[in-house]
Amino acid sequence: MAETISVEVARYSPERDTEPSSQRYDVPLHKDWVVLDALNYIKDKMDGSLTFRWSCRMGICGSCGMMVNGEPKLTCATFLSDYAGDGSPVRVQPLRYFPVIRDLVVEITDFMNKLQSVKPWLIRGDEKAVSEGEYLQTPEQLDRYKQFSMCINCLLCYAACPVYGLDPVFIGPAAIALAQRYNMDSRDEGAGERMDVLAQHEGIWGCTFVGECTKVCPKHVDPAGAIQQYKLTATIERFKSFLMPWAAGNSEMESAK
Amino acid sequence: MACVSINGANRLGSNSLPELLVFGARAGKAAALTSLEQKPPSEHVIAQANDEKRRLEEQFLRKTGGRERIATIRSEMHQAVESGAGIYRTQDSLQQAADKLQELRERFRNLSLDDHSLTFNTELLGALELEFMLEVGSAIVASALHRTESRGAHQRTDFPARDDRNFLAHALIFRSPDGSARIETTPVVITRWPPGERVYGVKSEVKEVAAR
Amino acid sequence: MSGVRQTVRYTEYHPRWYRTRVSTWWWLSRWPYLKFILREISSVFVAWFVVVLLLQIRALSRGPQAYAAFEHWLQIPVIVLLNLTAMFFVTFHAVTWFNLTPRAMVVRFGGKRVPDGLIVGTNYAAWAAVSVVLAWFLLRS
Repeated sequence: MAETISVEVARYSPERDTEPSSQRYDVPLHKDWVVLDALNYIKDKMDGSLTFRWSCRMGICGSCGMMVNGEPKLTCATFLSDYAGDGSPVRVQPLRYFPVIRDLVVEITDFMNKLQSVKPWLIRGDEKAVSEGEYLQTPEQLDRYKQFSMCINCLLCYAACPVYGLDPVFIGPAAIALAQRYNMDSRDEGAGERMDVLAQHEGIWGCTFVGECTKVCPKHVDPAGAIQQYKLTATIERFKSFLMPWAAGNSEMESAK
Repeated sequence: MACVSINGANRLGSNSLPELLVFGARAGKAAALTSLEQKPPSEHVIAQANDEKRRLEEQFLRKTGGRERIATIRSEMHQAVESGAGIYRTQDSLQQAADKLQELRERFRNLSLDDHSLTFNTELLGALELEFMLEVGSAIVASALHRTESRGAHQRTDFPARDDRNFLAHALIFRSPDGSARIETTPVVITRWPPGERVYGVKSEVKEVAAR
Repeated sequence: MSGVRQTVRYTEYHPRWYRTRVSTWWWLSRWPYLKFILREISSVFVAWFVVVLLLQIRALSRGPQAYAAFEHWLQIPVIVLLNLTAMFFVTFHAVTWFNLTPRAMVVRFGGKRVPDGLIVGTNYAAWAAVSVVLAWFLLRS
């Protein structure tokens, strides 16, 4: 008999329960198994009713984010063996601060709406004709936003952010980092449009720089950095428009590229 | 399965992703708009939908006493298709895969679900996907059995040569009333690039010289 | 921001979502959260030092007697203790913010991003330099 490890999984059935409970399963402990493997083992062999989201198993799709022993983690990149040894079970819970639909599945419409509100796409004042060719970009220009473009929308940063937990109107780390990804893109001309959403209380100014979003990010996006950088940009922009109301709107943001 | 052929043919991953994201989104929007413009569904359509609903409930959600698990059938299916209808295929390996898939489709009827909930029921989803995969797998095997030649990723070691006379054609699979597959073909319309032999190394250089 | 706030609609298949409540003591659950709250609280002590400075200026403007009284007040054990605590928090405030500056400020030089360590180092160097100048002013007599 192979070595086993106990996994304590949060269960919640909206049809039956008023609040979540936890259920314990003993699964084989293989050296190369991640928490998601354990969950799939449970679903396949022990209890088909255990419900969770997953897809790619390789840290790209961003759908298997959960709380593992209280920390937001991608379960496909979190090894069981890191939790073995002390005999206590691995606790798996749904992502914190989101409403739970069932078991480990959370409701993320709130984030989807916020993401859309920051217009995370290239905005052009004047679109070139296809015949005029591509919008060229130097490696240096790419380097300015590349880090922020690595976001996979896994929402671990939201589950790490007490500001979002306490006041869910906060736009949150990933959405702001993705806005910054386009603001910093040399091909983009939409910084002014995004500012209305970003430079308000529920936007960047809601952030108190706890910094945990950056620590839990599996893709090293550094949303905390993105937000602080944008605070600086927005402040300079505010002063500029106050002192020189005749100057064009997003000169600072354009020169930052 | 969709094949929008953005780059002339379909390819998993890079090509099917824009198909999903671009054309899938457009298809979804178009379907939603069309449904708004339609008259309310006829009694016939509603009866059909109710039949399907009843089938799902009887076969999966309210069914008790089944003995097969999704994961068991699914991994046996993987194994059968991988070894029988991988890149290198023969009459024997394909026939074995066909027989195994037939067996699995019968065993599928004895499936049992642990999850009877109507909220985010991923096990029901898994069962429906498995049912489709078994059917698609059977179609793939049937068309590979029918295609007694080698072409692209379809390599019949018992028929190593390409046979444009009989098989420069798309295979179309229909479900017969008894559930088995019936195969018809439709010719390939060749526009700009006629298919050629795919060769490597010295052979490819010879071909290039010949082309000049 | 009504456009962003989600509208909850329950349907037949999503009868009830479970919402967790954030505990009042959430900031005690993890050291980084506690550190963050301490950093936020440090602002109170920064404000206290400002008050002390204002009191000092007022005493100075009222003449030697008032200033002597102010110095006497500074020696009350409670005030000494309070100032020591404030000193700790203000240092904590400075150190934590210094360490965070490279995240807020991306400095580019010759097309390359200046390394984080250099930005933090510059902060500390400036701090040290200002301290040395002040010390020289105060201790030269």
